[in-house]
Amino acid sequence: MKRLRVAAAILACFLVLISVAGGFVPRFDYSRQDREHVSSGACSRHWLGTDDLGRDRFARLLCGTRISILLAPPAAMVSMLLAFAIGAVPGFAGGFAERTAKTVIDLVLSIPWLFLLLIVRAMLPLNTSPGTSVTITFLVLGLLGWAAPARILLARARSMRQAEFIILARSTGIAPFRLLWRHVMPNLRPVLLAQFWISVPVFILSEANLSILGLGVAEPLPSLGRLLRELETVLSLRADIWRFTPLVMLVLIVSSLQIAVSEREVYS
Amino acid sequence: MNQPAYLVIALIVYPKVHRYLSNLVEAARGMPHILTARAKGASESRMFLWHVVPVIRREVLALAGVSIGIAISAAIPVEALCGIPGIGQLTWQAALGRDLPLLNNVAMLVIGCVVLANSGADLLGEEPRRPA
Repeated sequence: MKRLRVAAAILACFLVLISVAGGFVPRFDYSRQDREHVSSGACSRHWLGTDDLGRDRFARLLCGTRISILLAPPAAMVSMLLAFAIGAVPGFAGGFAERTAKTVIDLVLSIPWLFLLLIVRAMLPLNTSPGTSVTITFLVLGLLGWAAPARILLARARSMRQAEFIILARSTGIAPFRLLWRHVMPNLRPVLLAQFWISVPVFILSEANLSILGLGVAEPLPSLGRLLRELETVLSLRADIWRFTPLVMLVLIVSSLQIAVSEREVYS
Repeated sequence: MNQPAYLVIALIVYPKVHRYLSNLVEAARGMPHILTARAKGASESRMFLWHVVPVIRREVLALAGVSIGIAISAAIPVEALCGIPGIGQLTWQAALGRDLPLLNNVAMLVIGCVVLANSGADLLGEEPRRPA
């Protein structure tokens, strides 16, 4: 089991490295069109072939992976901060704040996740520049993904309220903010980290889902979901089996991220 | 005609439920009354149906209620990609067309379904009243 985890971590690092390194190679420009080879199969020049606008599919795959891998962690960070503020702080404070926070969290959790994403994404402008669309997509993910971690953090913080070290710290007359920062936060760190690592693959998948539906990253920027959309016409698959690569890449990233985080951390 | 699509939705929901369910069954199997039943020579299937299922019934029902939400989430891309005219596709079209009133109403409908499913699960999961 441990060996598998190490292998998954190495694979994840490798994927991050190639996708980031691909951005510095001018040959892999995601938007350059090769009009002589439009929707061609795999060849020595275009390793995975080209799409119907003549853009190199391998370059687009690298770029899409880079966007997902580099932007999902900051989004997860945002949602962890929110989860801490909405879950852990009221859970530690108790009383009215705790009850309110619990109700809010349950309300948000009762709306199906993708549904919520779709609604919020539709309220924001859809015809924006590609850069803005990427930012909006991941910001929405980060701002909406706090509910499940917040619930776990709330339960943990509540159980910590009566802990002896907290009572000791209180009896020394510590300021509330300092108490949160120096005593509660370090003790919640394993839970926060585990939730962070769970959120990253979830966010990558959600972005792919949104982009498949045409509500995520805008053209001409590629993303994993957008590349998967090309698989919709199944007939072309028989001719060019390499079209499956985005799917394989997505599965690789998500599963390696998920395996690399040890189970003990996640399910304790 | 739509059966493969529903199968896909089931496949998406299954892994999220599997771990909880297997943990539940595992825990129920370790309870002392199971040992008694086994000592009395109950068969494997009888033990499962009469001694394990009643113990975990409430949790399983709650899980079923929660998985309604997951299934509705999963239905959006599945219906959009397979061209099935359902709530998921309606939501997708509304989101693409920025039809906010429709989105609002569909959201209300879906939330209503989820809440109904959860309260239904709670009601069914209540302990049956024994005659005094």
